[in-house]
Amino acid sequence: MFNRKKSKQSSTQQTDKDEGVHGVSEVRDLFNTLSSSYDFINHQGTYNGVGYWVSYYRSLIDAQELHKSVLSVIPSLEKINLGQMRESIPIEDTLITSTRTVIEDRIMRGHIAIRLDANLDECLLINVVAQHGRQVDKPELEFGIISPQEAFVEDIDINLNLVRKRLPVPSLQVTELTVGTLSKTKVAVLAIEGIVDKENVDTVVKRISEIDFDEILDGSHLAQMLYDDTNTLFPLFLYTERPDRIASALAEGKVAMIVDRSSSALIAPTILLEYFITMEDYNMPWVPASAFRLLRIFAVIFSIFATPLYVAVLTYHYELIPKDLLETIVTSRNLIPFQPLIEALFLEISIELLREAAARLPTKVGQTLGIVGGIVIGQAAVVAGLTSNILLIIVALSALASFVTPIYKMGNAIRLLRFPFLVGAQIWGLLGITISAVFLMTHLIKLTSMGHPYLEPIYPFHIKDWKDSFVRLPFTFFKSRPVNLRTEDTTRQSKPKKSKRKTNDFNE
Amino acid sequence: MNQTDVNEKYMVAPFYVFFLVHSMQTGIGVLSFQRILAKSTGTDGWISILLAGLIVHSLIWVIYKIFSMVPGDILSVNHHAFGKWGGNLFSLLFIAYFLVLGSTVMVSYIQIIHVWMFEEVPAWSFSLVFLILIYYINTGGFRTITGIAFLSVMMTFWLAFVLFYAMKYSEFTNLLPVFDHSLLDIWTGTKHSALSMIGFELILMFYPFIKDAKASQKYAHGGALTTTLITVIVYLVSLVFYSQNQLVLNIWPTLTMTSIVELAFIQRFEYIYVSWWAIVIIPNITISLWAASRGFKRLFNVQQKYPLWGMSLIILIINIFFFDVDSLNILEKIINPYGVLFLVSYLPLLLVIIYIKKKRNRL
Amino acid sequence: MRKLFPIILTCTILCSCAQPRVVDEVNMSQAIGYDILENDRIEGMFVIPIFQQEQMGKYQILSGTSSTTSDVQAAVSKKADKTVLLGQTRIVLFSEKIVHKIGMTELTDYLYREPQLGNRVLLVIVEGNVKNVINIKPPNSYVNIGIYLSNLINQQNETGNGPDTNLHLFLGDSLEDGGDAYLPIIKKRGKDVAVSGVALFHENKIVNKVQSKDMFVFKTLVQHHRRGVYKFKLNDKKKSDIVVESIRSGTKYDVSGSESHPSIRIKLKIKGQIKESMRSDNLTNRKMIKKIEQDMEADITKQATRLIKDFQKRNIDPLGLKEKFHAKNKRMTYERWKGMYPNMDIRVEAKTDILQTGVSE
Repeated sequence: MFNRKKSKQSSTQQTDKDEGVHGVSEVRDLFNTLSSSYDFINHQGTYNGVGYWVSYYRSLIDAQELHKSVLSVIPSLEKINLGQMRESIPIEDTLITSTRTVIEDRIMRGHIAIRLDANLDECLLINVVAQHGRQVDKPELEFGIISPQEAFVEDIDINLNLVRKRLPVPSLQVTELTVGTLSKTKVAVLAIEGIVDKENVDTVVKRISEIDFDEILDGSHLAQMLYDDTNTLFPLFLYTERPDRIASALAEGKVAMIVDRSSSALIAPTILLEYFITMEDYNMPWVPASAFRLLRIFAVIFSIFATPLYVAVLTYHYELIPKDLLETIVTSRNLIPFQPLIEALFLEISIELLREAAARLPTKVGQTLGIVGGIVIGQAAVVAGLTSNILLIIVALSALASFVTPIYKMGNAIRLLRFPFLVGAQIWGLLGITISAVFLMTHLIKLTSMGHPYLEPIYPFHIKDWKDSFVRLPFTFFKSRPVNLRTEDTTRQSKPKKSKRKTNDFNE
Repeated sequence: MNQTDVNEKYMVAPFYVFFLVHSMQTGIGVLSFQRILAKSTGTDGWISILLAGLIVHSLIWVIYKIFSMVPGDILSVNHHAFGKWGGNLFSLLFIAYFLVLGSTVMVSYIQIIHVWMFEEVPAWSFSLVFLILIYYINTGGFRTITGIAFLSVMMTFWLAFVLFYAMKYSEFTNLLPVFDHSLLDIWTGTKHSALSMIGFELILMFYPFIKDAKASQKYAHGGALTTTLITVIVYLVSLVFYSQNQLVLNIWPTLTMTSIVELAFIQRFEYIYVSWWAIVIIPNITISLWAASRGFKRLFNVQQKYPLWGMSLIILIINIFFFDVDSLNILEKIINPYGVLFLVSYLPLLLVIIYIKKKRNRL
Repeated sequence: MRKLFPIILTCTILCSCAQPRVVDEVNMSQAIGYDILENDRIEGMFVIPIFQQEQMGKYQILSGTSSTTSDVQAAVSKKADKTVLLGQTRIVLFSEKIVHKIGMTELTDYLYREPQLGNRVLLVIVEGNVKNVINIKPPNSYVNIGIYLSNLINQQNETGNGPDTNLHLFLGDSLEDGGDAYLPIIKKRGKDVAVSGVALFHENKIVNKVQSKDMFVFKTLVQHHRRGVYKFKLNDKKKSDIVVESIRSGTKYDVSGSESHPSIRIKLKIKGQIKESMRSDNLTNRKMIKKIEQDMEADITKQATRLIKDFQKRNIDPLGLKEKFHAKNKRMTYERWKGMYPNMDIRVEAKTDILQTGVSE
C-alpha cells in the first residue's frame, strides 16, 4: 500500500517535471502500479535467451485459454518478437502498443500483456477474458406464457446476440459508448438506420456521453440520468428483460440501450400506455389481447382509486351509499375507532410492508410470508377491530391489481400514486380526488420521454396510434409506425395486400 | 411589443381550437343559465340560445377576419389600430376582462362547493389549491394548457348521460307552446344566454399559438356550435324535466337534475357531478389567467410568472375578503353583461378600423 | 419562495380539512315523519338505523318538537349521541292534519332547499297520526320501518296501481299555478300499513282523495302503466268478476284549441292479460274475449268519466290538463282556465286489447 502510494506520487512528480520525455517510463510505471495488487501476475519467462514478461490480472482472465493459446504457442516460435507472436497466437483480438491508457484499459478488461526484455515499453495485448456469467434463462419479471422464453443476461455481447438474431439486417446499427469514471460501463445504443429518427439516436448518444458520474451499475441507473424530468414517479424509459420486446421496439423505430453487466435493456422514447403492453398481446388474437389490455388498464385505475374512493365516501359522502349496501358497510366499520383514512393507511402500509419484505426474502420464505401476511395479519386486524372487512377486500384487490402491470417499475409508480390520492380524499372527499387527478393529468401531460410527449396518443391526439394503445387492433391496421416517433420510414406493410380470400357471400 | 412570434415547438395543432373554445365556453354557465332564461323566455328559450350562438359565430368570424389582416394577438391588433397609448389602454381592458372572467368562474364554483358539499371550508383554501394547480398547469406552457382543456372535454362528455336519465321523468307538453314570447323577451333571453357562452374570445390571445392558424377557423366554429347545441339540449331537457315555476326556483337546475340519477352502486349522483365539474372548471380558469398574464407580459415585458403570481394573489384576496353571495351577484350582474356588451361592440369596431386603415394604406 | 412554498401548502391542508361525516359517527335518518301537535307545534320523527353485527334491521326513532320543520332536526340532534343527517332519507311522511294546518309549499320548501335530500325522496300522506304508522314493527325484521315504507310505496308505484311520485315530480306539479298535485296516502290497518288511496292537492291543501278502487283508472290517466291490476264485473247475467292485469298502457290527450268551445278527448289504450275469470266462460272463444274487451272499455270509460267529472266539479286538475291545453292555446291564463275548466267538454275513450289469457284455458 505504502509503496504504491509512493510510486504514484513519484510518477506524477516525474511527469510534472519532464512532460514529454514520455511514454517510456509511463508504461513501466503502469506495470509497477498494477503489480501492487495481489491478483496481478507478472510472469517472467525466457526462450531462446530472450526474456519476456507476461502480465495480467488472474481474476480477469481465463487461465486455460492463456495456457492453451498463448503460453504453449511461444515455445513453437522461431524468433521471439511481438509481431511474430501476434501472428502465431490463435486469438484475433490483439494489439501492439505502447500507449499507457490503452494498455491500462485493456488489461482492466481481461487482456494479457506480453513484453520483451528488449523493449519493456511495448506490449502485445491479447484478449483472454474469462467468460463468467449465467446462461440465457427464462424471463423472471416479464414472464409470458405464449412468448419466447429467453431473457437478457448480464453480458452485453450475449444480449446483442439475442437482439441481432431477431433482426438480422445490416441496418441494425450499434454505437458503443463507455460511461462512468470508475465503472467504465459499456453502453450499446441500438437503432435501425432508415427507420429510426436520427435525432433520437443523437439525443441518446449525446445524453449518454454527457453523463459525468463515477459509477453506473445498471440500466435503470443509467436511465435515471437520461430522463427528461427526474422529479417523477413514472419510468420514462422502458426497462425490459425481453429481447423480443427490444426487437419490436427497434422495428417500430425506437432506440434501445443495452448496458453491460445489466440483465435488462432500455427502450426510449416511450409512452405511458406502452407500460401496460405485454409481448403476449401480439401473440394472441386481437380480441382477447385487447380485452386483457383493457383489463390491465382498468386494474391500474382501480388500484389507484379504490381506496381513496372508500375513504372519500365513508368520510364525507355517506349519501352515495345505496341503501342495500349501507348496512353492510356501516356494520363492518362499527367498532373501528379510527377515521377511514387511518384505517386505510394502516392496511395499505401493512400491504406495502408485506410486499417489500417478500421482495427482500428468499423465494421460499417469501411464499410463506405472503400467506402469513395476507391471512393472519388481515384477519387479525379485522378481529381486533382495527380495519373493516370491506376495506380489507378493497385493499387486497387493489394490491393485486397493481401487480398486473407488465413492467415492474410502472407497478411501483402505481403503488405510490395511491397515497397522494388518499390524502386528497381525506381533505375534500371526492373533490380532493378530482383535484389530485387533475394534478396527475397535468404531470402526465408535461412529461416527455426523450422529448416525445408521454401521454401520446391521448394527448397529443393521434388517432393513428390508437391501434396499439388501449386496444390492439388486428395487424391489418398496423400499416404505419407510431406517429409520435417521427420515423424516417413509416410503412410497416409494403402494400395493402389484396385479400386472397373472397369476401364471404354465405359461402356461395 | 414585438414578441408575437411563437416558436413552433410551443404551437398546437389547429383542431385543438375546437376543444379550447368549447371548454372555455362550458363552465359554470351551463349549470345555471336555465333559470334566468326561463324567467324571461320560457319555452322559447331555445330560440334565444340559437340566436346567441349565431352572435358567437359571427364574432368568431370577426376575430378571424381581424387576424387575417393583422396577424398576432389582440395586443398587436390594438396597437395597430389605435397606436401605442390607445392600444395599450384597450389591451389593459382586455387583461382586466380576462382576469375578471377567471375569478368569476372560480368564485361561482366555490359557491357551488359550499352549497352542495363543504359549507364549512373557507373559500380561500379552495382557491389557494386551485391557484396552485393552475400555476402548475401554466408552467407547462400553452401546450399543457391545451392538453388539460382537451382532456377535460373528453372526460366530461359522459356526464351527458344524466340528460338521458332525466328524460325518464320528462313531460313533453312542457315544450309547448312555441313562439309564445315577444321578440323583446327573446332578445332579453339572448342576452342572458350569451353570458353562458362567452369564452370563445380567448382566441384573441392564443391565436399565435395555433399552427396553421387560418385553418383553425372551422374548428373554432365547430367548438362554438357544439356548445350551442349542448346548451340547447340541456335547456330542452330542463324544460321537459322541470315545470316552469320549478325551473325558476332552482339556482343550478342542471345540478338538481343530476340528483334524480340513481345507479345500482351510487345512490346520489350529484356529489360526483359537482366534484367532476372541477375538471371542467380548471381549464376555464387556467386559460383566462394564462391569457391575462400573457397579455401583461407582452405589454410590460416581464416574465409571465410575475403577473400570474400577482393575479393569483388578487383572486385569493377576493376570496378571502369579499366572498359571499352578494359579491358574486355583483360580479355576475354588473361585470359580465358589460363584458358581453364590450365584446359585441368592440370587436366589429376594431374590424372596421383595421379595414379602413388597410384601405388607406393601399391608396 | 421555493422553500416557503411547501410550508404554506401544509398549513393550507391543515386548516382546510372539511368536517368529516364518517358513516358510523352520524345518525343517518332513513325516514322522516311530521305530525302536528295540539299546540300547533310540529313533531318530527326520524327513523335512524342502528347498525350492529349479526343484528339487522335494528332502528331507533328520535323525535323532537319545534315550530318549523327544519328546526326539528336541530331539536332532535340535541337528544342524539351523534348528529342527525338527512342524506340517506328515502321517505318523508306527513300527516293529513299538518298539511291542512301548514300547507304543502311551506313543508316542502325546506326539503327542496336542503342539498342533502335528493330529488327521489318519496313524499307520503298518512291518514291519521304519523306516529302510529312509524311505530309499527315491520313484518320482515331485517329492514327498518323507513326502508320498509319506501319499499312499499316503490313497489306499488312500479308494479301496482300507485302513481309514480317523488319530491321532484310532486314539486313540479304543485309549483304550477293552482298547485294541482297528488301523493299516495297510507293508513294503518290493524298491525299493517297499506296504501289507501291518492291525495289530491289544490292550492297547497288536500282537497280530495282518489279511493283505492279508482287508483287503476287514475294511474292510467296520469301515467304509463307497467303492471296494474283492474277488476270489474262483466255485463252479463251472472255479473261475474273479471281481473285483468295491464301489461302496457298509454294515454293520449287530444286538445281542441278553439276558444269558444274548448274540449279535450282522452284516449286510453290498455293492453292486458286476463288474470282471473269465472270458470264457466270459454276464454278461447274470440267472441268471449271481444266481449270482455268491450265491457272493460265501457267500465273504464265510465269510471274515468266519473273521476274527471268529479275533478271538474271541484275545479282541481291533477291530470295536468291545464298544461296540455296551454300547449295548444297560447293565450290561456290561469284565471280564464279556472272559469273554463268546470264546464269543459272532456270525453274519455278507452281501448283495451287482451293479449293473453294465461297458461290455462
